[in-house]
Amino acid sequence: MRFEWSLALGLLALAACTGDLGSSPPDGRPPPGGGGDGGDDRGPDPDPTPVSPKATVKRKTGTQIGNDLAQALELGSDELCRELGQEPCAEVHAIALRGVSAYTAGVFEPLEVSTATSPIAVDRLVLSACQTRAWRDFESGDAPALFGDLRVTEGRLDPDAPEVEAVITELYRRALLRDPKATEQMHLRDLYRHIEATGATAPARDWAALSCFAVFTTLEAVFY
Amino acid sequence: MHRTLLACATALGLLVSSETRAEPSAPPIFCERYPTSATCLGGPASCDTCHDSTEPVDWNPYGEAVRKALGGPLSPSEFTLRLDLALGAIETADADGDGVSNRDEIQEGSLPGDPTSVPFEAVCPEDTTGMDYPICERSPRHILRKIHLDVCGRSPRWVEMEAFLEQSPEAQEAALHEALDVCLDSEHWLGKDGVLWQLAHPKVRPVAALKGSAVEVGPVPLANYDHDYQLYVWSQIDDHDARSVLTADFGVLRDDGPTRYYAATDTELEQECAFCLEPMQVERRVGNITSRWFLSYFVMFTPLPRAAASQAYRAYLGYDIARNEGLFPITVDQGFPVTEPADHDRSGVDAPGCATCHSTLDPLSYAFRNYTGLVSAPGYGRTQYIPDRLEQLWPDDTALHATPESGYLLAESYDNLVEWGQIAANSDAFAKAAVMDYWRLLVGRPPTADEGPEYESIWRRFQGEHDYSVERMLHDLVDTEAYGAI
Repeated sequence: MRFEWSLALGLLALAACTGDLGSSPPDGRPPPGGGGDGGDDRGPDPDPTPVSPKATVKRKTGTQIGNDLAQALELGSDELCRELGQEPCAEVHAIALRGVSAYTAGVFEPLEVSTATSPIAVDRLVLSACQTRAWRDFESGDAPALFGDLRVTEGRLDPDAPEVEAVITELYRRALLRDPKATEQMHLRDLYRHIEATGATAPARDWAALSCFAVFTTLEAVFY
Repeated sequence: MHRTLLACATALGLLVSSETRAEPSAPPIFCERYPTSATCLGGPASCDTCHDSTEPVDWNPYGEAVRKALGGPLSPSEFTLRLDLALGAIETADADGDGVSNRDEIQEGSLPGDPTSVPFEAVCPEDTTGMDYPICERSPRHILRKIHLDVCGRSPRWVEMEAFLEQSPEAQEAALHEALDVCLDSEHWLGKDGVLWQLAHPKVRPVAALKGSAVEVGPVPLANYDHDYQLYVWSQIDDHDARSVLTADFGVLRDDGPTRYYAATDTELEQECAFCLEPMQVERRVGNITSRWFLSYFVMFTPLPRAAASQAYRAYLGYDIARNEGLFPITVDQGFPVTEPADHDRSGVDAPGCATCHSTLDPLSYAFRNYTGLVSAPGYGRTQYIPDRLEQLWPDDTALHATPESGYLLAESYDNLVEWGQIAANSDAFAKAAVMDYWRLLVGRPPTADEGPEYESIWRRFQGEHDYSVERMLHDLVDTEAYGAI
C-alpha cells in the first residue's frame, strides 16, 4: 500500500507542479514525436517531484467511479458498463476496484494493493461510459448532454473552434471540478488531430469518447 | 513493517527466560514505554522489530541489543521487571548503525534493527507558488471532494464546488460540516451494502450458504445475519450509542427506499428469519455477540467457545489474538489469584507453546460457557442461554463441568457475558477500535506517530464529549490535518 500511495502522491504532486503528467514543453508546443507517443528526445529530466509528507491519496472504488461517471455524463446507473451486457462491471470487477466479496468469497475488506487487472477494470468502466455519452450526443437524436455544441460536418470538427474549447472546459469541470490549463486544452485538440489523421470515419465522435476517456482516467480523476 | 512486537518480545522471553514458556508481558511494557510511537499506535509491532527470522529464531541487531541489556537467564517475573530498563538502556544507541537512534526509529515507525529502514523525512517545499495548488496544507476544496466521495459516494458537482469556493473561509468550514451531515444520511453511507454495512463485514463474517432469512435461504440456513449488520449500522448513526453493538437487548430491522433502521420486537424479527426458534432470553442478550448468527457460527458445537470470544475480541476491541495482540495473561505470576489456562476441556492449551495466548483467551472465553450454538438441551432452543449447558450437553465429562462462567477480560474480572459486554463496551480498547475503523476508512491508513495525539484526542472525545456518537466523532475526524491536508 505504501508503494501505491507513494506513487500516486508523487504523480499528483507532479501534476500540481505542471498541470499534466510531463509530456509538453512549457511553451505549449507538442512534444517531439507527437503527444507523448514514445519519442526518444524527451529533453532533460524534470526537477525532482516534491512529495507532500502530509497527504494520503486513495484510489476510488468501482462504486465511486461509477457514480462519478453517471453524474458527470448524465447516465443512469443501469447504463454503465455491463459485462456481456448483463452484470455491472463494477460488481464483476469489485475486488480489483477496491471492493469486497463478503457473502460468497469471504473477502471482507478491500485489498490493500491494486491488482494486475485494476487499471484494465478502470479503463473498462470509463471507456464504456464515455462511448455511451458520445454515441448518445452524436447519434441518438436525444438532447445532447455534453458534446452537443460541437459543430460537426461529415463527421469532422475544427479543433481550434471556440466551441471545442468550451466542451473541453465543460469536460474538465465535470470530471475534475476545475478549468483546464492551456496545455490541457492543447493536448485534447492535438488528440483530435491524431484521430483524424488515422482516417477514422467519425473522428469528432471518436474524439468525444476518447477525450472523455483521457480525462476520466487521469490520476487526478481516479485518485482522491 | 513495524507490527507485532509481541512475537518478537515473546521470542526474546524464550531466550532470556530460564523456562521454556514465552513472555506475553513484553508488548504492553514496550508500549507503555513508547505509547505515542507509530509502532504502538497503528497496531502491534511486527516480528521484524527484533527478528530476522522467527522460525528458526534469529535476532536482528536491535533484538540482540535488547537481549544483551536484559542479561539472563531470567525468570518470567524477572523478565517483566527488567524489560523496561533494558529498553531504556539502549534507546539512545543505534543498534543497526543507520544514523538514527533506536528511540527515534521506534517513535517514527521504522525498524531499529534494519539499517535499510529509516524514518521517512519528506520536507514540505518552502515555495508552492509555482504549483497549481499548494501541497502540505489543509485544503477545504480537497476536503469537500473527499467528504462527498467517502460518505456520499460521489464527487461534488461543478456547481456545488463553484458555490463552495465562492464562500469565505469561515463559511467554507461550516459548509464542510453541512455537507458531512447530508452525506451521513445518504444511501451510500447507511444503505444495505453501503459503507457502514461494509465496515461490519469483518465483524459479522457472513456466509451466504448459511444464511437463513425470510427471502434468502442458503443450503444450510443457520441464521439471518442481516440482523447483525442492522444492529451495527443502527449503533453508528443518528447519535445512537455505538456501544449498543455490545450491550443491546433488542434487535434492529431495516426499511429500504429510503433506508431506515429501527428497533424491533422479537415478533417482528422472527418474521425475517427462516427456521427460527425461541429468541435469546432478554436478560442474557449482549448485542451482536449473542445474536443467532454469532452463536450459530462461532459457537456451533463447542463446549468452550474460544472462537466466539476471540472473534468478539477482534471485531469490537481491535485485538487479534491469532496475531498475538491484546494479551493480558492471567497468571499468579502477574498478580492474579489463578493461573490460566486451566485447560478444563483438556485441549492441551496449557502446553508452553499454547499458554502464551491461552492465558488470555481462555479466561476471555468462559463467559460463553452457557451460550449454546447449534446443539440444544431439553426445554431450550438453539442459540439460547442454558444455565447448566455443559452439564446437560456433556453429562459424562465431569472435568469440563469445572469450567467457570466468570473470567477476565482486559485483566478485569467479570461474572458473566453481560458483564463482559459492559467491560468491553466501556473500555479504551473499544473506543480506540471504533475510531480506528473510521480513521482507516477516511484517512486511508492508520495514524502515524505525528498523528498520535490527534488520534488519542478523538477517541477520548468519542468516549466523553461525543457520548459514543459516531457521527459527532466524524465531525472531529474530518477536521484533522491527516484527513484534510494535500
